[in-house]
Amino acid sequence: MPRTAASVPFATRAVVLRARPLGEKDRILTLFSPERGKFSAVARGARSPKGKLAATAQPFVLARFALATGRSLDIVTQAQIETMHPHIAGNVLKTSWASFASECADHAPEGVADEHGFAVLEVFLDALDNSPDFSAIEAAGVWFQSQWLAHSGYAPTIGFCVVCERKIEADEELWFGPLAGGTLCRNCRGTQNSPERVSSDSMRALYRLERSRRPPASLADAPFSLSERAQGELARSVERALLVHADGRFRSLGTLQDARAVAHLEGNSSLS
Amino acid sequence: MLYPRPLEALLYELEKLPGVGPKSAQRLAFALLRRDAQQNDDLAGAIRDVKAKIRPCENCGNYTDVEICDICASPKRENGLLCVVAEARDVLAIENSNEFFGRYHVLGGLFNPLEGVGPEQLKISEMIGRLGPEHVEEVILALSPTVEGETTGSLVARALEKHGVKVTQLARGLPFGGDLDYADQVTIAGALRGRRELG
Repeated sequence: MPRTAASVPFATRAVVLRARPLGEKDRILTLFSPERGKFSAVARGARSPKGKLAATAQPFVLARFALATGRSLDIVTQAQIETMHPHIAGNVLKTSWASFASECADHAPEGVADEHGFAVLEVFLDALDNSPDFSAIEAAGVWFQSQWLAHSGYAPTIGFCVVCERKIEADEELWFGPLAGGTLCRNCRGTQNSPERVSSDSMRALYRLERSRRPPASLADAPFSLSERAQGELARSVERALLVHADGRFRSLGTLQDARAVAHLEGNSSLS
Repeated sequence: MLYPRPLEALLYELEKLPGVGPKSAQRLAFALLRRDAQQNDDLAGAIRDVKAKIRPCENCGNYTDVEICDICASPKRENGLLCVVAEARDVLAIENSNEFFGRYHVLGGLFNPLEGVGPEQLKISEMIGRLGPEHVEEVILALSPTVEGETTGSLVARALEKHGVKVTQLARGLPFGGDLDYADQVTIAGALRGRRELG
């Protein structure tokens, strides 16, 4: 019998972005791997209590997958879990952030290798899983957004006015224009739609976050030492910039915003 | 067109059902063609009735054809025990075990930001409203052991914190009849944590 495309095996490390029911007992997984970027695969029997892929076929799981190429979808033949990120499940704020990050990765084109995107997602999920409190979760979330913005090719220009290209001095007032793609001087702010007045501290922090390999433990502590107001400016700026440039809308955004608001009011991460 | 128009229309409708692909739709459609007219009328009537008459119980959210479902209305059911499930179909799964004799509360889904389901879409406040009038002493969380189920469980447990009721959840572990060497590490770890003394 000739070898068909259905039997070509391959292996990859991947994060499960989504897991949706398929038929009676299966799940269809959206995976994100360094070599293949985003792709879909069927995990047979993953909804059955006795299914050996049941634990793997969960969102935010990082695993080594053995797959076979199928006619339309790849098929998971084996999987070895590296981490389930056990502290994300059960925490509403962490689950909301992880869902948002999964959606960002889900917007990537199918089948395009993305080593850097995978590395950002892997580091973020690990940091989120280990975040002990609200400020650590927020720092990880804002770090992820700034990284993903830069990864998507929309790293904001900081320190220069994006319209007149003049250097903005440290003692000058400045604004942030998400659509313009960075900071604006006093003269040019009127040319842009709803720019937000920001402090140089928050913009310096954004510049720094884009260049750090791991999320900080907190934005309030050194080296950032941001006031609560500057943290708010930073969080709003980076989120608005990400949303302006993202293709399609984020279904998880409403839940994430609600969870952040409640956790902020409570001053901790125990919204769960 | 490959099929006559009425058959094409039937195939089109059948394929919209979950788990029914083109081949299954063809099998079902030809099986319906072979049946006598009365049987098909009965099926059509049952489909019409289920949509017209079945609605959520006003108390628990389970499916019923009256205002309050049989389980909520039954005096034989244990007061004080409330089993929280995600969907009405989960009630049937637990009823089939013949181990639970309390009452149910159907949340209407699981917390799932990726599908746009947040806490406000779940019937948590309705559950809180039942605690006092029904003298609930223990709430059993019977939610799937998934990320969505775990997070929903935490959400419900947190909402119950101030109400002084005992909150428990179904045990996690190895399924009956399963082979140990086929179980994944998460299930085995859960089973080890939840081990109990024999005898």
